Amino acid sequence: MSELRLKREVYDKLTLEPVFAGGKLQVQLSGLCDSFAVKPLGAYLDGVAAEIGRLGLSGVAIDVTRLSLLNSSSLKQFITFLRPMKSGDSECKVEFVVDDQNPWQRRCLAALARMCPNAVSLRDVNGGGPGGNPSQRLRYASATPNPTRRS
Amino acid sequence: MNPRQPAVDAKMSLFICMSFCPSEHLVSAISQLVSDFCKIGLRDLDISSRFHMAAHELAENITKYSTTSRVSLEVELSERDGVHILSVKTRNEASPERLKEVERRLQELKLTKDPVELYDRMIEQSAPLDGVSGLGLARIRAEGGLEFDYAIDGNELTLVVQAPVPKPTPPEAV
Repeated sequence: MSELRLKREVYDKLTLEPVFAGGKLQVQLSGLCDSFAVKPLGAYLDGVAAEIGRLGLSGVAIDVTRLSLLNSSSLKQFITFLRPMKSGDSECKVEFVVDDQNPWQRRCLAALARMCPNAVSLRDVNGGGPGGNPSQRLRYASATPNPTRRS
Repeated sequence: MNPRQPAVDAKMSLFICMSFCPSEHLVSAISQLVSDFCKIGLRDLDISSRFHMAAHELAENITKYSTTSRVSLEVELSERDGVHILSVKTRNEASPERLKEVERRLQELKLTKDPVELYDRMIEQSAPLDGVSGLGLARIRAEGGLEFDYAIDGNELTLVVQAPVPKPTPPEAV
């Protein structure tokens, strides 16, 4: 088995930690993806893409359960990362591991599942909920009405 | 609604105003403060996380696009006719070109009947482009489920995002 060429990195408030076991790669993000994290995150995801190609991985898991916020510019880095999967140039599947106790994680990443339904799925780390449903629309768990559904 | 003025018949129960020199280093601290404010005032993780995201995107925008050394962000929890409303309001001056672009986007977001479809379309359009995402405002509307209003007065943009929220629980009652 080839050695993984990714390592644990800490950039300001963001920590990225790869785990490669049993031929499966998981990358855990911890902390905060703010404007200072955007470029390092993009570069790290380039590295993940390179490893997917080099090792011939059929899937990768991105664990965001320890992330407190992902800004839109960081989300854009994931959109860029998923471009080969969306276009069909890569057959790799991407599973985002979320914690449904932190409802923003599923809400945020559901946009990626809608963008790339054949390659992206979402899974609750606690095992609950209909994870990975690419057609899932936004749901509002609180008493707040959903303004997108108002007449 | 005039986004520049508070509603005269609204009862304000919580209010924070932050006026600051635009700095990327302040953005996360400010959005975290908004999140904490929501958690303490409302005790609702879902609402807190939506306003945390919105405050972060808005604070990044006013920091990025302000043409002056002073911007502001306000958080307000108010009651009007028995309905509790949580809002975040930002004020900044920007270039005429930026104001024209942001007005076009805000109008589109304000008028759309399907913010999620619009957001997904903007993601598709942004995918091949390098650089900034341009998704922040659409994300607030679609993912955050928040309503927009705005006003432009000269070079000053006032932007309000808001949502009705459940009746706040006083901390001492918990």
